[in-house]
Amino acid sequence: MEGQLNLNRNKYRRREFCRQYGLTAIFLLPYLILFIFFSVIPLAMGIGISFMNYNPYDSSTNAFVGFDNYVAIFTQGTAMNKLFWPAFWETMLFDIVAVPCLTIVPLLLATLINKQPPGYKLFRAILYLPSVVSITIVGIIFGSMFSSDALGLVNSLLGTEIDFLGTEWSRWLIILFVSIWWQTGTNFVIFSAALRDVPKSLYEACEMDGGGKLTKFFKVTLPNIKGSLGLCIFTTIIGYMGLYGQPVTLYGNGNAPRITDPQTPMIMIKMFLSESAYASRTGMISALAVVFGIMIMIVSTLQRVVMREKKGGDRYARKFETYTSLIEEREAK
Amino acid sequence: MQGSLKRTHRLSKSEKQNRREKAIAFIILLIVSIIWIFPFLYLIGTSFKDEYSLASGNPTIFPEWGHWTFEHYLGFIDSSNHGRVDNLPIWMANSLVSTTLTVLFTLIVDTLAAYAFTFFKFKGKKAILAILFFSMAIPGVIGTTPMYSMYVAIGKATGLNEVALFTLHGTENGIDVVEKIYLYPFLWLILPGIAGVFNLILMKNFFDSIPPDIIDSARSDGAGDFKIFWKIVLPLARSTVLLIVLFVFVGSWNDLIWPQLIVSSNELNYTINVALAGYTGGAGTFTAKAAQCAAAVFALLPILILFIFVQNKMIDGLASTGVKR
Repeated sequence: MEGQLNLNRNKYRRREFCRQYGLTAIFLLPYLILFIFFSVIPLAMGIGISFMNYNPYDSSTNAFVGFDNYVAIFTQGTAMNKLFWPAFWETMLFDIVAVPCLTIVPLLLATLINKQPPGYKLFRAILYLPSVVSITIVGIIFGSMFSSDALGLVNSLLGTEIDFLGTEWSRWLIILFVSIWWQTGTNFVIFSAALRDVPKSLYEACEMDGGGKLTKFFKVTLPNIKGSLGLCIFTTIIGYMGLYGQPVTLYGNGNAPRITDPQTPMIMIKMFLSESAYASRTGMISALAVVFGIMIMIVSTLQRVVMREKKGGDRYARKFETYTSLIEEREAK
Repeated sequence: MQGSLKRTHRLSKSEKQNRREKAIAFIILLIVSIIWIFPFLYLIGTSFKDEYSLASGNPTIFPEWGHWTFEHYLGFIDSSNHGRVDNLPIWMANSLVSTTLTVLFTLIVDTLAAYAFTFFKFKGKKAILAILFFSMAIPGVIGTTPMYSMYVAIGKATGLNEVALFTLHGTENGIDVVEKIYLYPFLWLILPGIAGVFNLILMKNFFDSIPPDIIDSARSDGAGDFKIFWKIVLPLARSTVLLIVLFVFVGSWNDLIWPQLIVSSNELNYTINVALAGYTGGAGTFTAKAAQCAAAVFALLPILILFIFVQNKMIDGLASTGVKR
C-alpha cells in the first residue's frame, strides 16, 4: 500500500517534471535556437575563419593558416594594412569631434525642452523625427543640397561652386552636420528624461548656497544625469566607430564618384564581402573584423571603467538628505 | 504683513525669470525646429520640380508657381518614364513584408522567451541569462562576415537560393524577360534579427514588475501557462510590446548594410533602402535626381505616418528604457 502510493507519487512527479520542462522548452527553444544559429555560430565561425584561408564559393583552397591573417593586418605594406589603418584613424579622428557634438547638442536642446515652453511636445517630436528616417533618404536629401551642380542649394545660397562632397575637409564636416541632424533625437530624449528626474529641491539647495547657473549645472545637473550621460557617450562612440550609412549614402549616389578608397572600417568590410573578386580573402576580412571588434570592446570597457570611477560631486544630494532627515527629526519631536 | 508682502514680491520675481527663460527656450527651439524641418521641405519641394526649375541653377525649396509637376511620381508606374524607378512598388512591398514579419516573429519569440525566463524555474537559467548579457558586449561586426558566408553556403547546399517566390514575365525591347523574386533572401532578412537580446531584456524587465501572486493565483485556479501568457501577462505588457514593435519596425525598415549584402545580386529582391542607396542610375541628369527625391518621399511615408500616430508614446518609452538600461 505504502509502496504503491510512493510509486504513484513518483509517476506523478515525473509527469509533472516532463510537463513543466516541455512547456519551458516550447516557450524558450525558438529563441535559443535562433540565438545560437544567428549569434553564437557566426561568432564562433568568425573567429575560426579568421585563422583560415577561406572562400565561401570555393572550398578547395580552404586551409588553416594560423596567425597569418592577423600578421598581415599589422604588417606594413600589405593591401589590408594600407586600406584598413587610414580608414580606421580617419574614422576615429571624426569620432573625437563628433561624439562631443552628439552629446552637447542634445543636452542643450534637452535643457531647453525641460523649461517646458509652449508647444514643447511638438518641438520634441520635430527634433526626434529625423532619427526614424532611414539614412538612404537622409543621403538623398543632403547629397542634393550640397551637390556642386545646379541643384546644389547651399552652393547657390553662398554663391560658390565648391565640390563639398568631393573635398576631404568639407566631406567630413557635412557628415558631422548630417549626423547631428539625423541622430540628435535619441540622446536628446534620454537626456530630457534624465533632466526631468533631477529633484528640484537640489537646485533650491544650491541656490541657497549662493550657487549661480554654472555651479548649478556642474554641481547638481551633471552628477545627477551621470548615468544617462555615460550611456549616451558610450553608445555614440560605439555607433560611430562603425560609421557606415552617412558616407555611403552621401557620396555613393554619384555625388562624388572619384572616391574609391573605403573611408571607414565598416565600408571596407562590406566592400570585401560583397565583391566576389575579394571572396578568396574572406579569412583575412574575418581577422580584420575580429581586430576591429576587439577595438570596439576595448573602447566600451574603457568607457565603463571611466564612468564608474567618476564618483563624488553629488554634494547637494547628500546635503539635501541630511537636511530632510533633520526636519523629520524635528517633526518627530 | 511685511513678511507676506515680501513673499509675494519674491514669488513674482522668480516667476518673471521663469517666464523669461521659457520665452528664450521657445525662440531657440523654434529656430532649431525650422532648421530641422527644412531638409524635409526641400526633399518634398524638389520632388515636384519640373525640368525648368531643376536646371535653372537657382534652387528654391519649392518650385515657382506654374512649374510644379507630378511626372516624377508617375515614374513609379510607367516604366518608360525614368527607367529603374518602375520597380519601386515591388521594393516597397519587399520592405513592408520583411519588416512586418520581423516585427511579428520578434514579438512572439522574444515575449515567450521572456515569459519563460521570468516565470519558469529551470536549471541553467542564470547561466543562459549571463551568456545573453555578455553577448550584448560583443560587437556584431565579428559575426557579419561568417553570417554572409553561411548565407552563401547554406543557400548553395540546400538549393534554397533557387526557390522563386514570384516569377514576373515582361517584355523589354520586344524580348521576353523573366525576372524572379527569390524566397531565400527574405529568410535572411527576417530571421537573424529576431532573437535580439535587448528586446528580451526589455520585456523581462517588465515581466519582473508583475507581482508573482497574480500568476500563482491564476495557476491555482487551473489556468495553463499559455492562457496566463495570452490573457494576463500580454495585456499588462501592452506598452512595452508597443515599444518593441516600434524599435524593431524602425530598425528593420532602416537597416542598410545587411540587406545590401544579401539582396544585392537580384534587383527585384531589393528593399526600398537598398534601392535608394544604390541609386546611381542616371546620376547627373536632373530629372533622375528629382525622381530619386520622389522615391524618397514615397519611402518616407510609412515611417512618417507611423511616427505621427505614435511619437508621443515612442518618445516617452524610449526615455524610460534609456534611464533603466
